Parts: sequence; structure tokens; C-alpha cells
Amino acid sequence: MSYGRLLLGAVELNGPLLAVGYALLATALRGRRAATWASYAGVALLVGAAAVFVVICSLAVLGVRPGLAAFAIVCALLAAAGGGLAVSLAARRHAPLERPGWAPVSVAAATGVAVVGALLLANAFRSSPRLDDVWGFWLPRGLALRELGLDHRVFLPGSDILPFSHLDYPLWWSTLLSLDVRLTGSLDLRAVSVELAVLVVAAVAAAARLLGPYVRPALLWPGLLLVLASPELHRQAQGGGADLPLAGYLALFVLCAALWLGRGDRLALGLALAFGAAALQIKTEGAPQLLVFSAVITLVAWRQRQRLLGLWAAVAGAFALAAPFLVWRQAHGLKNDISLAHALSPSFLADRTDRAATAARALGHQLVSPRDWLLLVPLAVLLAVAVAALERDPRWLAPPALVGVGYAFWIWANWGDTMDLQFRLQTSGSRVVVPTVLIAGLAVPLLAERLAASERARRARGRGP
Amino acid sequence: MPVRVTLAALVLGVGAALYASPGRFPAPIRYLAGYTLDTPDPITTAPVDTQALRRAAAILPPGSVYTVEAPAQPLQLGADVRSVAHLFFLPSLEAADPSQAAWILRYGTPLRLPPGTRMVRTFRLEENVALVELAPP
Repeated sequence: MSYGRLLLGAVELNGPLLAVGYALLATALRGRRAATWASYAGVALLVGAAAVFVVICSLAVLGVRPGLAAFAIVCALLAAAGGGLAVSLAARRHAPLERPGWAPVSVAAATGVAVVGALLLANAFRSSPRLDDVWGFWLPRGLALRELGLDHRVFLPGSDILPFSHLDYPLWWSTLLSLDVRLTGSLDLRAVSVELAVLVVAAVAAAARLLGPYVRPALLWPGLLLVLASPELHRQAQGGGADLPLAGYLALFVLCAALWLGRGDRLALGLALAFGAAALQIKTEGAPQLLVFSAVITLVAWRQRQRLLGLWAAVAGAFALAAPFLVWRQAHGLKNDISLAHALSPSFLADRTDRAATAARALGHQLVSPRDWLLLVPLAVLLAVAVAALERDPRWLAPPALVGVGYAFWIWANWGDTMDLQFRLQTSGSRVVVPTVLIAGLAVPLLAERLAASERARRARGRGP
Repeated sequence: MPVRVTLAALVLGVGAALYASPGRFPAPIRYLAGYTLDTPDPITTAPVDTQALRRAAAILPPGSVYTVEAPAQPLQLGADVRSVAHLFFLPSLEAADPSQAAWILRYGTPLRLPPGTRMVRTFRLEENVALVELAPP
């Protein structure tokens, strides 16, 4: 099949998602200049994808087949709802956004981000996904959903048909992939890589938009270039698994939660709801990670009770949106292959402490290896310590705390697991740490900006009046 | 302004050159132009004739129930053939009990009919790969 058909399929899928995302953002963006709207394209695509497939997955649980007709109707209804709300409200006037100066380093780094993003997309057109999970599990589930609905013969054990593996996994990624492949006109697996690359580029664009008002370009774009140019990001973008979308949505959830708590940005709170809802519906491990990251954020921002209530309302809303699948899964007794009873049993864990040590070594290596993530995690930790010391405010240690909790969570999950540890770490070790790395990566520009501002203030104080 | 334009043009030029001929660049940045396999088919661990399985998918009536016969060794081959069949053959499904199947995908192994079944016809897809229709019980 031609690259043109792949491109057309990507446009046919992402065009409506982008339109839905913009419609849902329209209330917040109304009255803004066209250039500002354009800068929200990454945010809009991710919001559109989150909203459309969260709704489609809930409908699938209720018996609706997630085919093209359902996709078109859901897109139309969401776009009408978002657009209608924006039109019904009075137009707002906004002060023009401050235009930051672009130093040569900012221009070079921003162009670098554009070039690396373009390479990522171009490479995807010639990459069948590396992971066998994609064609052995994620995509067939989506195709079965589209053709048969949530057919209990293949989505539940015990029938006369062989069921899928990982029956407890949510439906978001499978549903999106089946439509993606359907829109290319035939079963071309390169469409999976193209869609994953589109989502990665959208996530970086969204991060740039969300961080833009708070970080100067000379620190923002080099920071994002470090994230986008990480070798492991490129490997995973050609893997096709659900881990990267999950990581992107979780990291953006944390960023939006921080912007809401730190700056009172209401749009960020709404985005936290959308991104959290998507993270819950991509993989089973999305729920515990969303909760532990939210718990860390709560501890750090404990004094801001009012805003924390808003954040927890967003988390509760995300769980409510995932409720149809969670209830269906609970009703049919589908459990994850990591047993919570084992993972919480002190005697079970005490008998196998060697697993914890092995997992800590392997996952720790993934977090700090420069060959994988270009030292994003050590850089974020160093910057956070420096800012916390300069400002004498321990709240700036939130990024290392999030990294530590994400790291500890996966050590614990591997410790309480019964599967062969070497196999588990070899097959999934590099993928499970991605949310933690991306959270650290998105914190780097914010921390660098704060460090630069603190240093400037310190020098000004030193000069005296 | 000229410095910024020159820098942007330089970065764009390096990116274009990297895409066009990655071999000329050092390994630490060559990965930016790397890709897996330019094929619409799954990348399997064991070599699987995916084209033969695509042909089988075109023959199999939608909604059929099938079983897969593949060599017991190497283990990976059987697993990969089964997974590729699951992908290409949907909305047809694999029977948990082979005797319930109406079709057999025979891949690299002699045909063994499940007990109590009778063959109606065989579609030869490739040397040693065939789709076999069974008579209804």
C-alpha cells in the first residue's frame, strides 16, 4: 500500500479528533487570535482523542460496535456540544499574550524540535510496529470490537472460542487502532506507527503550549528537544504499544495538575480531567499510577485545600468516565495478572526480597541511562534540588518525589508479581518507566526557568539598593 | 535576524540530510532517522509467510470458526502463526476445541483431521500451507 493511503488514513482519523478537541476548547479559547488557536493544535488533538474514544469505549461496553458510524456520530455530537457551549456564552476579550524574545538558541532548539518531530513522523511511515503485542493483542481486540462488539466469546474466558489475552485491559487503544487501520483501507500495520508518532508530536506540541506562558523560549525548547530526541522515545514510537500514549497522558495530567495548583489555570484543570480519563482507559496500570501521582501532588500542595478539591474532583470525574468499563470488568471478575493480594502480603513479599533488588537495579538503570533518555531524570532531580535549596522551599522537590514514587511503584509491582522476573523486566522494563521519565522531562524546563529567575533575584539582592 | 534564519536553515538542512542518508552521520544521532521494517505485515519472531495467511483470510467466509495446525517445534513458530491468523482472519475466530472448527489452517505440518471430522476441500496457499474446509458435523 502507498504512503499516500497511510497519510490519508491518518488525516481521516486525526482531522475529526482535532475538530472535536478545538470544539471542546472553544469556550476557553473564544476571543483569542487565530495564531493562539493554532498553537493549541497539540492540546486539541489529545483532548479530541481522549474525549472521542472515552465515549466510544463506554458505548462499546453498552453494546455499540465502535465502527466508523459510531466514530462519526460521537465526533459530531461532541463537536456540537463543545461548539454550542462556546457560541452560547458571551465573547471574551483577552489581553494579548506577551511575545517572548527569541534568542538564537531558542530558534535553533525550536527548529530542532520541528525537525526531530518531522523525522519521527517520516520514519513511522516505513515502520511496522516492533512489539508483537500490537498485532497479537491490541489490534485484534479492536478489530473484534468493531466487527463483533464486546463479544463474550472472545472478551471473557470459558467459551468454545479462544479468548484474547489480558482480558482486564481497557479498550481505548484497541478501539483507536482498529479505526486507524480501517481508515487506511486495508490491514497495514504501519498505520499504527504513524498514529503513535502523531500522538507523540501532539504531546510535545501540547507541552510547549502549556509551558509557554511560564518558561522563556531559550529554556523551553532545548528542554523539549531533550525529551523528543531521546533514543528510547524513538524506539517506543516504533513499538506500537499502549505504553507511550499512557505515559504521555499521565505526564500531561501531572503537568496540568501542577499548573492548576501553582497558577490557578482553570483550563489546565479541565485538561487534567480529559488527560486523566484517557490514561485510565488505556492500560490497567493507568489507574494506580494516576492515584499515586495525585497523592504525591496532594502532599506537596497540602496548603492549597481549595485547589486540591478541584484536582480531586477532576480525578473523580476521570474515574466516573471510566466507570462503564471498570464496572463491566468487575462484574465479570477479570483480574490483572499481578495479584494485589500477593503484592500486599508482607509474608509473600518477605520471601522474595531478591526480586525487589533485581527490579530496582534494572528499572533504575532504565531511568538514568543516557543511551535511553539522555539523562532527563538526573537533570530534573539536580535542578529540583538546586531550586529547592535556593528558594528554601521543599515543594520544589515534587518532581524527584514523583520520580521516586513512580520508580517505587514498579519495583513493588515486580516484587509482588509471580511471573519470571527476568522475562518481565526484559519485555516490559523499558516501557513501564516511561510515565516517570516524561514527568521528569516536562519538569525540566519549568525547573530551569525557576532556577534562572531565582539566580537573577539573588544577584539583584546581592547588588543591593 | 540573519543569525536566527541561518541557524534555522542549518538545522533544517542537517535534518533533511539525516533523513536522506543517515549512514553519513555518527551513530549517536543516526537513530533519529531509524526505522523498523517497511512492510504492512507484522514483524514476527519466527519467519511466517504472512502473504499466504492474507490469502487464506480472503478465502475464509467471515464469521467462520477455525483451528490452526502448526509444528509443535519451534514453539515460537506456532505461536506467531496463530497470532497472525487471529489478526488477519477476524471476524472469524479460533475454536478452543479443534473438533468444533469448520476450517483448518495447516501451516508447515501434515494434515491431521480432528476426530469425527471430514474434509470437504483444500485451498493450497503455498508449499506446505493450506486452508482446509471441513464438513459440518
